[in-house]
Amino acid sequence: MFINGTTIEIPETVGTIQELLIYLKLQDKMVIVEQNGVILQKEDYSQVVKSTDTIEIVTFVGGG
Amino acid sequence: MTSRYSRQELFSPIGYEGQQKICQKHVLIVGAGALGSGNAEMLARAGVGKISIVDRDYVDWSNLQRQQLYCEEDVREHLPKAVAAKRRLEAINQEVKVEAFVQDLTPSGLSAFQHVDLIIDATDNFETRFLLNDFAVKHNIPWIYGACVGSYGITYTILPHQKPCLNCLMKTLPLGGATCDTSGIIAPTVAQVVSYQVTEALKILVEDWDALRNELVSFDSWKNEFSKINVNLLKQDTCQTCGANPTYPYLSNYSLSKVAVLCGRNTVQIRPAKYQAIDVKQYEKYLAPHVQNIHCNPYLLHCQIDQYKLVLFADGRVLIHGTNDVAEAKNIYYRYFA
Repeated sequence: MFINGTTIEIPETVGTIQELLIYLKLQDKMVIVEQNGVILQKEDYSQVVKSTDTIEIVTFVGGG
Repeated sequence: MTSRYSRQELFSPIGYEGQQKICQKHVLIVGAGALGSGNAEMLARAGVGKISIVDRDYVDWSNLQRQQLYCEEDVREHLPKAVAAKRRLEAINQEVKVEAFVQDLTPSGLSAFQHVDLIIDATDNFETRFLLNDFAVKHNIPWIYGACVGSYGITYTILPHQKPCLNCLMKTLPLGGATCDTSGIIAPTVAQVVSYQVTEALKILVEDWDALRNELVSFDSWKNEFSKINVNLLKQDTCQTCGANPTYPYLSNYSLSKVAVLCGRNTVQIRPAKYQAIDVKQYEKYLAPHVQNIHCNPYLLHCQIDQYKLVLFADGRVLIHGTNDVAEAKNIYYRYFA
């Protein structure tokens, strides 16, 4: 899977956006996800991900 | 004679006309830590007419690694960051009018800034950012979100009513945790976020609106990652801040949270229920027999009580270092300051 500009091997057990976020340990973070150029609403996180997908994930942080 | 801003004027998107605009603009910088320092220095060098800086903290040894406006002398003098920043910025460019405010940002404090041209977010917490967002949207002031932790940085420019506001974006986010960053930070991360913020700031100050970035940008310069997302579709018509019927929830329901644990700092801040300017010198006389290592300047008083380090500011706030426990901190506060 192509995530934030890098090819990353993701186990086959990861089938949805939500599972991907859990795998990347981002499930409790504040993130915005784009899948193949389409920005996702939170309701869309049950959407299926494929190994050929291009994913962008932006995490909000607070420090300054 | 070559003008001070000649290189910037030779840059054609700014030019002489753009420089004239920059020199007449007023920028509010909220927070004078790492991002605040970097933004303030670049904007002062760029010749912004007036810069107002709000910060509630004072300069500490742990700041010097990345907060570029400060030096060892500022730490020794226990100077508030806003005051030390003003001093340094005026030394860099005396043509810029610099205002320093040593205080927490509150709705009433913000009301003095209704006419600024731009707000730079350099805070370290979302409570203040949501307040800023409400205020900026209500008064139609562009603002630039910036944040960083470790080698990761993120930034986004908000043009009220034209792009989704912070409240729109957060509606799509699972809120919880992640606002308290304890993973450290390296200086290049700060500089990179600052570069994005100031470039966007210059575009806004010269009114080159078409040049503005339309995307949320993030990067991790240690992991060599970069990401940008166009978030325009996340603008919500029902948003309570920028939607059709705004209530500005963070401005109107703002409660002066009297006690705040400062994330990752092992520090509790206690603010009196009613704002009252105090004379810290008076407290010095009163406290001296009961505490150790007391030090006082016109802005604050520092002292040590057992394992705690206390800082009393002239706006009445007290920082109690050495604990994250609110009850413990209140106990000390009431014993010495109530």
